[in-house]
Amino acid sequence: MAASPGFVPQAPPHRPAPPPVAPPPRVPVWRKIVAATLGVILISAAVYVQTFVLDGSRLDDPLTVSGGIQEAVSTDVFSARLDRVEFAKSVRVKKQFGTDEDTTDKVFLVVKVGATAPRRPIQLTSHLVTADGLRFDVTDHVTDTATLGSKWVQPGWWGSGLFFFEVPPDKVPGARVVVSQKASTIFGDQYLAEASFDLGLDGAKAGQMIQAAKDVYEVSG
Amino acid sequence: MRKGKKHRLPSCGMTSTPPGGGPRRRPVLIPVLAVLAAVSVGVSAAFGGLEEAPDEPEQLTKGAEFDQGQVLTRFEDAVVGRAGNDGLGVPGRRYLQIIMKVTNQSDRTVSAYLMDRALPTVWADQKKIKAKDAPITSGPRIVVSSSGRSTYSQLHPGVTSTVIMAFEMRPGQQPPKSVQIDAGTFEWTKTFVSQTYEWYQVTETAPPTEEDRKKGRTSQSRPKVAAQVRLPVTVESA
Repeated sequence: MAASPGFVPQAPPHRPAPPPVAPPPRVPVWRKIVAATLGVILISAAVYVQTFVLDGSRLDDPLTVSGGIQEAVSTDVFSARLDRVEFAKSVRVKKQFGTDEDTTDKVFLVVKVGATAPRRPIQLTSHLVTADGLRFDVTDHVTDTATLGSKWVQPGWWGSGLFFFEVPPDKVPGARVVVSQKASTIFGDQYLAEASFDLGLDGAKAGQMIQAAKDVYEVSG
Repeated sequence: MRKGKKHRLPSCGMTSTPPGGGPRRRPVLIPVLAVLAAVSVGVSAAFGGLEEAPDEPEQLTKGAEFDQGQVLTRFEDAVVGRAGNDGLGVPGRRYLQIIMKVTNQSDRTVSAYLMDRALPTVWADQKKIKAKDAPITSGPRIVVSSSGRSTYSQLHPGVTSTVIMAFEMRPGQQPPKSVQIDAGTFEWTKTFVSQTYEWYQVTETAPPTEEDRKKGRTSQSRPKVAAQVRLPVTVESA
């Protein structure tokens, strides 16, 4: 068809015979060896790099920034600081009308967290990870209104509040407290930011602090 | 004979007469195989075919412990009693309470309402009082009882808690003599979408119910019952 003669170059009736090719120069043996070694190294490197691929169970892990106690830890959406850790046998929440008091047969671990946000207000939540990797949510023995979880963290200044955990005393040594943005079940970022604080409690220190636990921890909420 | 055997062609088979003129060899192998095949087909047919044998649910009684995967459950008691000031329900009303000691064997805090799925069906004297698909508002209350003053809803990892499943009873309703509980199990399974691991309830396919037929389904998936627990009901006085 001659529909688009401009786009289809007419093939020449016959190509001119290619000029006689000179025989390729001989590659010296040492260069062959170097090339082979380089190839093997590149292939091995490509295989080795595969070991850095995250396995499936870690693909949805949050982006964690770690720190110690009283150390400001900054993520993209908030900065947090773990001010202090205390232990209590019961928690009394003073409300406008009446008082809630709650005891536990384990121990309440109370952390005071300061936080600020760089751009927009944010709500935070927290969980505790023990040395053997168990994840404890904040306890429902203490009403949410007494914790930082119900407050908005604003840009511009540091606010602070408490988080309460109910843990068996033997799980306290080596525990970390993780502060993270509240995840929306429907919207929001897939990769949540979290700040992880090492409480720095070894067995002896934890035992000592739990021994000295307050009988009643009083908060208003 | 030796000579004849040596000259026989392999393609002649066992049934042909040896060309050497020796005695005819009886075909043994094929009839034996046929008989063996027939017997094995008959035997497997007699025992219900090659389909996987349904494993019968374990029968448990009061005080039994059952490993449900994500949780380890000890069925302590079934009691009909009045709710007090303990947060279990409306004070003064009677509740049928199934009392369990539940150990969370997973690595994170879960809600006590997990037991709603872990124990899909409950009967009181053959009458179904909890169905697997019932909305959560019409089902029993499931609470964690800790100090006896208030109730909670968290099962922390590695911690054993007292969980009460409470069914409200109508005024004047006769307390049942016993309750029967179906217990399912959970499996640590890789999810298809995100390739991460999660606890999933073990299910089985079953013939469709009337409702499923109306929706045009030909089978239903339901929690697999791994154990059935029968608890006698004790009635608290007053």
